[in-house]
Amino acid sequence: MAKRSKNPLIRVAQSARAVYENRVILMALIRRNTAGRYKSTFVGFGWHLLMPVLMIIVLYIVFGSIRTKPIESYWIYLSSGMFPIMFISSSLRGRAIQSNARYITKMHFPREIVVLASVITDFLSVVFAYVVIIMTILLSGQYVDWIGMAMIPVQLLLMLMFCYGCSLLISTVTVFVKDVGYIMSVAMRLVFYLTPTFFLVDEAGGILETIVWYNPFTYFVEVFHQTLYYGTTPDMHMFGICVILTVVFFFLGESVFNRYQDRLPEVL
Amino acid sequence: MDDVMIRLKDVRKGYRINSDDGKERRFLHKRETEEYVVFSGVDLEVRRGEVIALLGRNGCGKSTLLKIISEIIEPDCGTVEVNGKVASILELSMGFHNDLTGRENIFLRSELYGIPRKVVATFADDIVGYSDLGKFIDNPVRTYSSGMRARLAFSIMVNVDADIFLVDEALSTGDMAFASKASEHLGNLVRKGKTVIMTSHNMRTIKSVCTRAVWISERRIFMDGPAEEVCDEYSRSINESFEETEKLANDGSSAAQYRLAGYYRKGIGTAADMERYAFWLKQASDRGHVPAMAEYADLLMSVDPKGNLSEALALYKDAAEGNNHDARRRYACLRGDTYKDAGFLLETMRKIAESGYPEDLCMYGSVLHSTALTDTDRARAFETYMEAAEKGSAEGMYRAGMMLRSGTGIEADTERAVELLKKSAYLGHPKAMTVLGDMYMEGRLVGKDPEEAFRWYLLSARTGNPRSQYQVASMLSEGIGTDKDDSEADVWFRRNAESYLNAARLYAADRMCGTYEDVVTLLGPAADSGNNRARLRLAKMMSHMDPETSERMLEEAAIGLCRDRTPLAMSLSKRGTDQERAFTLYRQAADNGDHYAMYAVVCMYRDGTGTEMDRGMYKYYTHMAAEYGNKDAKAVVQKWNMKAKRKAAKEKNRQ
Repeated sequence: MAKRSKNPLIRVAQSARAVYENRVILMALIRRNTAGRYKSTFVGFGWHLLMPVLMIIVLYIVFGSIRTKPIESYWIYLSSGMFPIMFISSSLRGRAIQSNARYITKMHFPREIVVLASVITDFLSVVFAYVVIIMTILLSGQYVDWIGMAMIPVQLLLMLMFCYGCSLLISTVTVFVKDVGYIMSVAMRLVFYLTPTFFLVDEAGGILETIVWYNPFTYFVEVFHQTLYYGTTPDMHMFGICVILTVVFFFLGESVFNRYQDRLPEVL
Repeated sequence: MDDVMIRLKDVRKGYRINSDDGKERRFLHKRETEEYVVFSGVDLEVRRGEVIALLGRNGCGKSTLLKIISEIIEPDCGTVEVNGKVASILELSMGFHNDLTGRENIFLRSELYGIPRKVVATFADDIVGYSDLGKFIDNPVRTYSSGMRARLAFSIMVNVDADIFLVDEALSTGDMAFASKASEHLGNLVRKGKTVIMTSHNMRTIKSVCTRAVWISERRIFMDGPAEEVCDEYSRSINESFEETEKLANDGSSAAQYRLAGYYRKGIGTAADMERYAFWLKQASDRGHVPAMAEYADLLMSVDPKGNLSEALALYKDAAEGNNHDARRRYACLRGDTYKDAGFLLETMRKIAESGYPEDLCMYGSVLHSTALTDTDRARAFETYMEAAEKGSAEGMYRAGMMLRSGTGIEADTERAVELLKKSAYLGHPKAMTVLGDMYMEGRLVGKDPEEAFRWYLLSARTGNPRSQYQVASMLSEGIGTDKDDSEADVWFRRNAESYLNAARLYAADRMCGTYEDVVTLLGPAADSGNNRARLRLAKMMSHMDPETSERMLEEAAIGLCRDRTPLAMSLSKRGTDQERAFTLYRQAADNGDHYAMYAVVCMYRDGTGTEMDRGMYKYYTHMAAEYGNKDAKAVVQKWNMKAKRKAAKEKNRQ
């Protein structure tokens, strides 16, 4: 393996190149994670589309029935915010490296592939979910903002990079400090209630109103809300914050991972 | 050389470990870390086509070494040079997905090796065929037995395009039937010019599969050589490890105590500690361990010969009664010295000679001869020599021949003397050859015949006898008994000088603690100038590193004493190249009283290797070997006797 550069930009380029050269392994790991998930079922591949639908129905029944003030098309609001937050929290749980320890200790390949594969695996189910949501929106004849729609893939990729960075950071730290893993799974539950997924941002009052806007995940969720629920072009101010968060966490995660990755096979 | 696939130089690896003393970890409190050195200074060269097993206890660094070679982890220092593509997965059955079928897993795993799906499709059927799983290939892997999994994993591996295969815990999974087939799989790899390094704990399979084994212990490569030897040594050390021995010794096993004493003396598995050595030796000796008694007595004598004399004598006596010959000799000599008791010495030597070993007989004879006061004693010495001579001892023939020649104690008998001396000389006794040379040269008792004299001198000179070398040289330079040849004469003069040097060289080599190279440099010239002891020692040392030279050394050594023919025979029969020659050599050595060779002859007659199967000869040599004290042969004879007894008893019952 070529010596890794000290310059983070060059290092990222090197890493991207290494991942590309080993794309076969990346694909195999993703396939290994997804394959057999719905194997030996009657519906088979259809579950990839059916699961989000069922999820949305459940969420709608649960959260719709407890609402005091009913809102219009609540299911779109719920589902467009719920899937990003589930994606983010699963990548922040920091299990990516530990659950794939065997590959790290017994195989010679760019180690970030393990993290990337597990992030992409989660990402794929988000993509499926959005395909279902968007198709339903189009079929139900809701108002659609086409610029906002066009930005959804960009927004999804941004979130992928953000989650990749977070996952690199948290799962590396978890290997050395096991406690972080437990803290994160509790923290993610809290974050779920502090992110506007089942309540509107405007409804948040008092202390919650302040906290909500300190929560970085609010911005990612809100961008989707604006595009899909409100049917507007996303607020550039909010989109900008998403970009900044992504860049910060991506490089933070990358440098922490890079600093400690050589010790991973010894510690695991 | 281009067929070196892997070259490690001075590789060192240490892990930082946190000392975990059971306390809860305090927040933001830095734990003490210390470094644990797995190994350092590791040099390893691996050639194409080798199948290497890494041996060692758990945690000795086998897996770490594999990981360093495959670049999963980096060494702290040292260089790792790998020429060729390394198959990147260390664990044989890693990456199988239980819910997928065997065929789908072939794709999955090949992709993990980095082979694109399209390429896998071209040889997937080959893998299916090779794996021999039949219709099971389309069943989920979770239904497979561990043997089937391993078979599938091996089949994929064999088809992976790489030059070097590293396998951790290669043979731990899989049923016995599979383990026995593993050699076939690995053989296929090697035939394709691949190189395999693996770790395993299954000695039997390693022996049958691997060409070479590397034993890692004490943070370095402890032993490196042919798989069989290293495995044997390794299993022995596991059973006789320091810790295990210490435990047994504390439990009161005298054998373990004696062994433990040895470890303390040589510093094996522990620091050398003379006090503990003495302590454990005394323990073992107190419990009646015979060699321990003898060694403890030696130790006592070396510390304070005067003060400990009576204690040492008592120990030697006890050990002697326990049939320890060394102790008998020492006891005899000590008592002889102390009490001027030659009669006792003789008595002891007689007892020793009862074993029937020709060497012991000769020694008894020489004691008889040297203490002889009357001709009757001398005659007894002669008889003893003759007894040894009849058992094929060249030394016995020589001694008896010399007594007959000079007529000491018995009537001189020139004809018999010459006959015996010649017989001894034909068996390769250098002194007998020299004496014959002298006799023909001076025309003493035989007709003067310089040519015959030269022939004998030359034979003896070739075995490295310095006096004969001098004779040959001077005869050549003066043209007596042969053509004048100054250059050849000079060669022999030089050899003569070297012979004296060689004695010094061997003496030094025995006491050197230097490296292999040092000893070879020292002994090489000695062997070249015809010294058999040097030749045999070198041959033994070189048998792995340089088999050809080793073989040549053995050939050269076999010209001399018959006893020196056994090593060559062993080498020949081990390699199975020339069993007939091995048999002839063994037979010559056996007829000369070498009981090891006798037993080898026994086996060859029994199995029909190198000769016809011959029941009669088999029995004859078995009895002979038993008589000469060979343990294996003794066991066989004992079995026969038991059988005969039982048969007789049955017969009796019937009557």
